[in-house]
Amino acid sequence: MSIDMSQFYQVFFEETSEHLANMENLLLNLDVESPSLEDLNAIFRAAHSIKGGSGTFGFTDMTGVTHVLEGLLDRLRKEELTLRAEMVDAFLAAGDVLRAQLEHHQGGPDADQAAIDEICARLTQLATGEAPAAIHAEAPVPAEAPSRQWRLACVLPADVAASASAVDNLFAGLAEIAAVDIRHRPDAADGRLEALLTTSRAEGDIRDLLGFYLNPEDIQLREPEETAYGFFDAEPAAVAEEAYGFFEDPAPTASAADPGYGFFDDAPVAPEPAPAAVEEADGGFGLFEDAPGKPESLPDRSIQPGDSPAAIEGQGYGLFVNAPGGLGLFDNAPGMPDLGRAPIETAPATASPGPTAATPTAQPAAQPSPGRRLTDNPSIEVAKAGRRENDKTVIATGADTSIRVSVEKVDQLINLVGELVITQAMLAETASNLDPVQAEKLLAGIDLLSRNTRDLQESVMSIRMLPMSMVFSRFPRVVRDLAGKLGKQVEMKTIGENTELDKGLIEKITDPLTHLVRNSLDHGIETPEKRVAAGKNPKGTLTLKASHQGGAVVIEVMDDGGGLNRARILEKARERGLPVNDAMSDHDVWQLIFAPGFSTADVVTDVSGRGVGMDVVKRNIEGLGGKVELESSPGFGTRTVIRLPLTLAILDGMSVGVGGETFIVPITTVVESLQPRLDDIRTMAGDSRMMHIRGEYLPFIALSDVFGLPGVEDITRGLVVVVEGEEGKAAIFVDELLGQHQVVIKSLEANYRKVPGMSGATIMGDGRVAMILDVAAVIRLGLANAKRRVAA
Amino acid sequence: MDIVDSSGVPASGEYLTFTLGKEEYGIDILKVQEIRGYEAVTRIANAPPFIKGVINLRGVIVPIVDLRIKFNLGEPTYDQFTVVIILNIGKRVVGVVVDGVSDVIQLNSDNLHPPPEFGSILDTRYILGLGTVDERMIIMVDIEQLMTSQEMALVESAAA
Amino acid sequence: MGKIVLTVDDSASIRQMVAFTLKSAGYEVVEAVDGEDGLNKAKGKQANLVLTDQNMPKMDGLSLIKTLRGLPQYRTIPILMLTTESSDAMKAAGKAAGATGWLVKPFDPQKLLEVVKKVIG
Repeated sequence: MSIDMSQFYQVFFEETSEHLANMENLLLNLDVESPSLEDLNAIFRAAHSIKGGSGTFGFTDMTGVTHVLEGLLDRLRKEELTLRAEMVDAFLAAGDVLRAQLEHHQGGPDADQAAIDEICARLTQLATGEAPAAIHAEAPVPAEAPSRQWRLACVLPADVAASASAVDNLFAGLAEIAAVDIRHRPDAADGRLEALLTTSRAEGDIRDLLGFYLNPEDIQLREPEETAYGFFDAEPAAVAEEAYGFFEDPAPTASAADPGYGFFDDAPVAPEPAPAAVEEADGGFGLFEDAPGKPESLPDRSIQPGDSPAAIEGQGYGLFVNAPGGLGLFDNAPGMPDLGRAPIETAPATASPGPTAATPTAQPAAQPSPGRRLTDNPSIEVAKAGRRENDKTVIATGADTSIRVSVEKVDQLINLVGELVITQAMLAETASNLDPVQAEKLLAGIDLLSRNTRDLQESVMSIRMLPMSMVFSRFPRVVRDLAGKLGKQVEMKTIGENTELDKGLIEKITDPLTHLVRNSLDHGIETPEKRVAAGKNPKGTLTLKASHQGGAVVIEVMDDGGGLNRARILEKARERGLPVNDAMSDHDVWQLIFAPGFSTADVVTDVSGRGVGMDVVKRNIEGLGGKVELESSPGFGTRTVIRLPLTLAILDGMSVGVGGETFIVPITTVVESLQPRLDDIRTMAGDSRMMHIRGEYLPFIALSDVFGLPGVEDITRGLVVVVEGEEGKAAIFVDELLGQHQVVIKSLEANYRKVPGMSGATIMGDGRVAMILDVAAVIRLGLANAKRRVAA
Repeated sequence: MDIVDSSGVPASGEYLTFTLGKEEYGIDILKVQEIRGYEAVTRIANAPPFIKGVINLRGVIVPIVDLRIKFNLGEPTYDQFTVVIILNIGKRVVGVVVDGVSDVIQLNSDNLHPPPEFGSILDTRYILGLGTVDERMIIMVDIEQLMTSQEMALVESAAA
Repeated sequence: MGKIVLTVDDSASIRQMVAFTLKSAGYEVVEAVDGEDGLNKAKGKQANLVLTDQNMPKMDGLSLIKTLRGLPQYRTIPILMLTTESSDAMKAAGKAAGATGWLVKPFDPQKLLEVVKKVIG
């Protein structure tokens, strides 16, 4: 059968970028002084998964890099090497290289071969530099390492100790890798576990096993003071003999298995590490059936004692036949299929095939003693709970609880729901003309429909919502790199990264935020020397915070740097001819930074200008229907606050009528609406009109003028909506206010083009199209119109 | 002669014919999504007069172009007989107001003649050729080329 | 009805590949994303063969094998370990944990089928 591997590529690409992001995130949070083993393991797992996947799907260039990477990580997590800062740098660089390779496989440009070679060499050097002898990062542990003894002492967590079955499980697990002499069995009253273990297995294996039940740090594993075999002095010979005696039983049957079974259970002190034998007896079948006698059926070659544990070993896989110790007793692991295919010629036993034992149905006969039972479900639960406590797994694969859906499909769903909302609004409008008494049931139904539609819309919109962590997660790397470049010490904190925001906004907010973060680092946070001189912690703090406030998402970028310099901003503003005075509030002064072109070096802070591109930031954010504000306190830092609507797909709007057309004014821009009086309107320089509202003079812009519509001329018969856009406030004159709606934003550009003064369109309750005003653009158009008239 | 339109499709196949004033035009039927009556449009501020505005076509905002205005064919009237051809041009949907839809004709390159250098209200760039059916002359239009052209002002120009 | 294979791997692409390959060959496939999930799935639905990765979050392959071997219904079920490490130490650890065999990553679909057929037919 031929299978097209390319069909799996997309999933591989997605999961690999997740692994890379996760790896980077873990690396950035890694404490170089005392890295958590948990994190090192998780980083290792990520590299390991990429290696496995890339190898499987044929992206061998990535396999090459991950192989070296994994090698070094493996030595770190096994604590054979100590983590150093340059290793973290190398890991990050390796991540970058892998990302480039991944992009190349997705159709991107070629990955830089020099960079690949460089990082591989660097990683290899780091892995071997400290211990040049060990060139093979994954130096195989000899299969037949000499047995040694360990004295184990630890205290089990109360919930584990209290469960007899959990304790049984633990000892059973230990018995599988070591001969165990229990010195103190933990129970509810006393959780102490003391035992002597004899095993050829590495210390790590024992720790791994115990780590399942308790915190690895709490495990004491020492070499015992006693001489190596003193522990077995009691009756070693008898034990050994009995052990062999069982397997040598000339006529083993299912019933014969029982005593042997009991033996291991009762005497876990068997001097030979006999885990597989126990497992075997446990399995209850296969042990005798294929006892010697059919060596000729061995597929390729005979198994010799001391062979690798693999008996049937094909290319790249193997089925266990032989026991690790080469004793030849444990000819078969549980689950071996065709037993005839896996006989063992070296087994000293002369067991003849026992038909009763050969069938799995004999299994119940080999009922394990209580001491060996691993089957109690509660115990597994306990084990899991014990494990979970110190398991801070970062990867949340959750294939069960989530599905991947293309954004297109979601958007189609949102569109359809949008249609439903419009249809519902149309129905409601039509029904409002009906006699409420006669049409009582219909009206109640429409009422219910509108509630359901609203709920449905909310649920559907929430599909597009993504956590802010999607954006925040990129900043630790940005901050790390930039702080290094600038010679500053910066700690980054994030708060509220679970706050959700529409996918479209998430994508578009990244650039402005990056700009703000870079500004904070570049111009906000001072050098360590300056900070110390100012009596501050040499390490600055940059905080990114996201939260919901009302119907908006608020994102804050805060630094504890030097703050803005009011005097300098005013000075610069005067130079640029901006209307400023010393009495201006701080708030207004800070806003000056957002003025277009307000950007030169050494303006704001002592280092250079914070003004770089802030007008662009502001424009981008306002383009998203958001607002941005600055707060600053000299010596204490600066805070930039961004307010964004929850989504780009719907908008709260005020509908206004002009010349028979309906327009939507985004509610976020509306300050107030009022009925103008004739003497509020002043004419300036001919045709240019201003409106006097609460001590302010605002440009008076008639929407009918801007759009060339036959609107109401008589000022007293129309209404004014005071709006605030990026150019400031303005009084927009309209014929009438029609109401407030939540409208579904439709693109004009999909089939047409951008229309000056409009940010989009929507469909009203009557099915007609209404334009959504781009308030800032309307103000610009209105002012330009006025200027033209003056010029004319 | 092999006539090929802008989408690379040889100009033989089925064509929808419609009238503008006294002239009869044909467009590739594969570009036609549907034919509707004229309904009230929402005006677009500061748009050229031949762009009537936009309509809500099952939730999609679709611009409506009146070719009669564009080509100066007398006083356009809007009544229950006014017809809008909804076109699918590339990934865009556009409505075109015409005087009336005649029929669907089958044309192959044999009864297609190269366009004359003059004589039509349409620039020859947008004309695939002239077809003759039952003594009627039909101007075969490369509608995709026309609707995406700069002068129709329907598409954002590359410079913008 | 086809025999049921439980594939335990934290890598979605490997899972997808394994599942696709085995399903194409007529096996029924249950997927699990880590050892813990694998254990739950194994308990939920009796599998005829378990294929497990070694390095996984929450519970690794060896722990899963050990735990499965403690369940009466999995005492004799073949369990294959998928591992990138073909070292003898890893094989020994797998053997000790109760694995029936191993399969070295990377592997291709043919190899996978060959081994699975060898074990459960």
